[in-house]
Amino acid sequence: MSNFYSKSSTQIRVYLRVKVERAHQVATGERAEGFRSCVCDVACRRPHAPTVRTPTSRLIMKKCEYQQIDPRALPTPTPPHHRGDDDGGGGGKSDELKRPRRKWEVFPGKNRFYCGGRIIVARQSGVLPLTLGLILVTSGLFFMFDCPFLVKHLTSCIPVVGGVLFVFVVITLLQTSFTDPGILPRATPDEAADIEKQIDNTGNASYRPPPRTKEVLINQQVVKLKYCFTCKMFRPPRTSHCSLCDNCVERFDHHCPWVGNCVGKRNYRFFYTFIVSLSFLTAFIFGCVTTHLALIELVICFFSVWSILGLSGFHTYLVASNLTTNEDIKGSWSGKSGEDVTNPYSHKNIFINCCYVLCGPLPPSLIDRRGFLPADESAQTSGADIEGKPQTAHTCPDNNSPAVNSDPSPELSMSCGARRAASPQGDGSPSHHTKTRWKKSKRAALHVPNPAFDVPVSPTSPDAASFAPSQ
Amino acid sequence: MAETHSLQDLQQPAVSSKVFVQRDYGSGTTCRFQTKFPSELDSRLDKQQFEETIQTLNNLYAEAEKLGGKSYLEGCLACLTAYTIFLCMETHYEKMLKKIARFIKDQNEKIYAPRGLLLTDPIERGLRVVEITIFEDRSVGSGR
Repeated sequence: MSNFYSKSSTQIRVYLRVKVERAHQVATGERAEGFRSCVCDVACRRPHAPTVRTPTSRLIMKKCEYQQIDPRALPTPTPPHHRGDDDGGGGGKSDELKRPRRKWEVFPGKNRFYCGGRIIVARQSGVLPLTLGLILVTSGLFFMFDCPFLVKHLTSCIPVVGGVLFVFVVITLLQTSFTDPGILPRATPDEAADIEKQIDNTGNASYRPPPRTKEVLINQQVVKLKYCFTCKMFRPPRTSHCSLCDNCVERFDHHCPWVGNCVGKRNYRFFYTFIVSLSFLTAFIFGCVTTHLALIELVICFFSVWSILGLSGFHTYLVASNLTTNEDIKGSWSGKSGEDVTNPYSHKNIFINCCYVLCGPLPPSLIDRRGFLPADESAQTSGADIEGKPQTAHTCPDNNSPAVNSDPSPELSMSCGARRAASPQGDGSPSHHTKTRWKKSKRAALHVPNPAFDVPVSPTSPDAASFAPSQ
Repeated sequence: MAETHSLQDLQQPAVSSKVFVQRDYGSGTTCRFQTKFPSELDSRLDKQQFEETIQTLNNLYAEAEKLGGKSYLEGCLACLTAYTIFLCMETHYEKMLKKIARFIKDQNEKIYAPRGLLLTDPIERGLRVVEITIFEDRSVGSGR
């Protein structure tokens, strides 16, 4: 966040400096009066008529003009006093262009990043604050009021056990929320072009082909891989595109609003540990509280115990059969259609399935959030960033919706990245609507698939659906 | 004329095309790449050499994702510590990825760079493809 603020103040300084500079140029005759000067001078991408390029204006010129300058043809070196003038603005800008950018800053999905890209959350935090609040309040009340009573009358192990469970619950909740669930980076333009070429070769080029699928044989089962129009690739098996986060997630389970993140390959074990330890914690508190009869805790725990226990039981079944919520809902391997289908990913042994899902090797994040962009991409995107930033202060909310609803370009998405979280456009009403729905249905409905949050892609529709949160 | 081709030399000539070796999902979601030899590399590379590279890559990824005593121990220990151990310890998978990076660098230096080709580490493409960049022949021809 501090990065964003320092950048925007730099941009404001640059913007003001340009305005002063241009006024000065008109006064001294360097620039003809009536020259079209946009309000969004630095941000505008339209090529303007070339002006007399003083070293000062050259440094702070917008991206399209800057690119027109051939660095080898610069007539005079920059005078030192101009450099000194521009250290605040122009120096800042040249530093910006040279500063290597990290990949999270240009991430195309709808995620937010904190701590320099170390922490990743979905754009909408859902009801994560509510989840945390409920856990903290209930546990706090338990430790403050019930524990002294129970320690006096029973044993001092009670707060110890409660404490361990509480720590487990909070740590695994935060890990589920802040970990990359297994996001697949989008295909590079070259890859996308290669895939398009392959599709055109095999299909009829005279009309737009139907939703693209590719069939593969996995352990003697035919599995259809769908083409993702957003990420421009054929999704690997068990991968699904989450419309809320606008990412393809490997081994996609579901998008959980209670933790404010998708649950996928990389954070499923954290999620499972969270719900199991939470069910133990709520059962424990419920058991202790019935001896002491504290009403608030009793009510919260009563409703929580049944729903959380039910959810834990459901996910234990999924783990034992190596299924995802997504596959279970769709009935991919249940043989509904009458064919003899079995889950090709299962190891046919409950114990091995459990070990694989919960204790198997944890693959690292594929999106390399803290890696640096290559220098040429960095220069391009930082130029676009400088263009985009002054606009974002005023026009980002307007630009955001069309940008989000069409194929999001990396530049626009990057420039609005930090803002997009705050912008109510595009997602405001659906998120409010679904939030209200969730609060009404309470925890008991958590394991019941909510089309608003679960996999949005229907078997037949192409991924235009990925842009709308609900079907 | 014997000349060592550094990658910097090869990046000066233009990229003629890129070949993508896709994933092989025949055995599930484990990371494997197809060993089918792309026709675009016919003039540059031996089929056997290519298959050997891809097969070794597949073996390395299989070892990274192997279910065995060591990985289970790591998983159980992580579970007991509420997975906080991942913050301080490098997982087996990460160690294998470093090994794979070294292998690819080695292959590039010994086999692919002299032929005007460049292997890109699949991890940079989200483990979706092995990208082989084919550079124009003129710089390689002048070097030989």
